[in-house]
Amino acid sequence: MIKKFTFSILIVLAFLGCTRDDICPEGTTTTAKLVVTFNDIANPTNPKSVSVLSVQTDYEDSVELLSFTETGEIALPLKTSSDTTKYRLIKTTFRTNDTLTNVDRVMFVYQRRNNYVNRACGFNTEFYNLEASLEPEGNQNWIQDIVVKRDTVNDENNAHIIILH
Amino acid sequence: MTKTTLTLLFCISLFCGTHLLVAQKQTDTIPSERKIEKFGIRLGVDLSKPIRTILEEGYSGFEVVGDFRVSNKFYAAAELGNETKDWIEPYVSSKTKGSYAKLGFDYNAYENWLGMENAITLGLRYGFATYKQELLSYRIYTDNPAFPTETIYDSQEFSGLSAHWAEFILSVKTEVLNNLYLSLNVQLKRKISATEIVNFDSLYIPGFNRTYDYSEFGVGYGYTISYLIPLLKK
Repeated sequence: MIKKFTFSILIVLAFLGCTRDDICPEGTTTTAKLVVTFNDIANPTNPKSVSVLSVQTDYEDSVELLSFTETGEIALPLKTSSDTTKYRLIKTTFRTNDTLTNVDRVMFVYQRRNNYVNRACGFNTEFYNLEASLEPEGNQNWIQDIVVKRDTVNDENNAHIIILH
Repeated sequence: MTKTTLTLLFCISLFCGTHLLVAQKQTDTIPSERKIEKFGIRLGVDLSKPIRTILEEGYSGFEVVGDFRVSNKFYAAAELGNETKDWIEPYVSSKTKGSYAKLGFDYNAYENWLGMENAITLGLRYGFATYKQELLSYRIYTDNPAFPTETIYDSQEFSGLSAHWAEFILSVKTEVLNNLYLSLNVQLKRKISATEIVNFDSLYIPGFNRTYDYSEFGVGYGYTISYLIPLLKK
């Protein structure tokens, strides 16, 4: 009798260790990315995709984040440790004789709020009062205008920013 | 984790020792003797908590236990304790401090041999804790390598918290010396309610132990030594 109970006690103790909430599960609402769509400057409600686009962070140790041959929508992470995030959006045009690269600098400014998610995922950041600005280069910009559509970033359901080109 | 394992091994080895004592006692019973049942108050301490206080970093705790035999099979039982526990996760670390009380009864499901006072009891408890929890540091979760996040040390204290739970407790008691008992128990708990914390959660509740994100259940164990003050013999 006592042996049986000892055994069952040992089994219970063995299960105390591992549980599924020790790792952050995929699909949890962690920090949302900024969703950017590209529309036509001539007709701002119409989507217009960008041919050969790459996105780099605009800091001293710049990192290339995304690279597309054709895209109409991108999702960019915002810095959770600072109230600004700077990107370089590079559009490459291949012509018969040469290749043109047009680098446009974009800066996002916002305020942050950290929210508890759960024990495995820690906290996430919600961004609000989002503003976007384009560094002007005279008539050299390939981006014509940036419109903030939703100024709170806490989901990735639809676009926060529309870039007109 | 290794320290917890060591603690568990230690508790189990202690238990195995008492088990041998039981085996030895069983050989020398005299069948003709009339069975005497002792009634009284049994008081003791949970040894696992002071042992963990020594072995486990970030833990200190103490628990006193007591029961009172109300009938042949039933005991009224109570546990009172105090715990401080650091709960460290990769993205969150916290410290919980508080006291708890558990009240209920035990039912002895073990038929003793003559002259023996052992027990395998099944019990139910109502548990209640008051505590405070401190969020020591946290990190923003990210899977994006461009902007790695850093741990934010922004300590916040949440006090005046309370929790209620129901507990099932299975315990094996052996009388090792006259009126001196050693007992090992395992506990399965279900949280009934706990104070909601704005923008955080109770990662640990004194007496309930760690909580789970996706479940209201908790587990625990104890290794107690207790002394029976006999008041009545039947």
